[in-house]
Amino acid sequence: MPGLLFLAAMGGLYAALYYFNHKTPIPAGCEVEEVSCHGCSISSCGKHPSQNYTLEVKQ
Amino acid sequence: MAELFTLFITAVLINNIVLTRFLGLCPFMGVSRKTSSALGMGGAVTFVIFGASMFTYALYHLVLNKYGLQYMDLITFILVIASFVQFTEMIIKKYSPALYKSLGVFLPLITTNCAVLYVALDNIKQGFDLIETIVYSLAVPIGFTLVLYLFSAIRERLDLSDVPAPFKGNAIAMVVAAIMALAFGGLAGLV
Repeated sequence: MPGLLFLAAMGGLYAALYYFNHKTPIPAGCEVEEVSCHGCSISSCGKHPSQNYTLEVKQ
Repeated sequence: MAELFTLFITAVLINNIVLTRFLGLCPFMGVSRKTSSALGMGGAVTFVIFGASMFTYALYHLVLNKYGLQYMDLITFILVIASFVQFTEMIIKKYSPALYKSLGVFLPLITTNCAVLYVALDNIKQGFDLIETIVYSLAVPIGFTLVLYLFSAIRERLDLSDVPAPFKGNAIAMVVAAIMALAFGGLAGLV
């Protein structure tokens, strides 16, 4: 029981901080720009650069 | 003092978090195309690992150990790390737009970085006292930053090199990482 209460308190703390962070406005000029994809390990992603390479090889 | 120095050198070079422990590989592969972003990521990781380690150390010894809740260390540390990153991002957004512009994009990536959780758990597992925890919690991200910077410098040159088409991108990066791991493995007898 004390463990569950403690876990609930920690979860509540995270939820509260997430909410306040979400409400905090991003400073002017710091809007997140779309990051161009350089390719991660998820090669099945449609934006993965290797997709275009695969098409070129097949052609 | 000698033990602390040994601990520091061991954590930075010999038991490097990336090349020896194989942790934190996501940012290592994903944020290492440019040296500027590598340094930014390294700085953010250093701050988060140190801060989260301090919080988790205090929480473990003041709450979990005291009330017999040691078994909850894993889930508690995860929540603490996530909460700390949210809090840090909120403070940076509000009080330092310049810092947010340079490091803000990295903070959500660090939340899921297994290296942060590893350091928090290892501090407890190794039975470090406060000073040793501070030294270890600083040394590990410094080692991470060092390797990330070296890797990014190599990748910047690789992008300008004539790499065979099948090896371009992550493939040659993996080869480079393997060679770096071998090189760092040679430091095993240093201390």
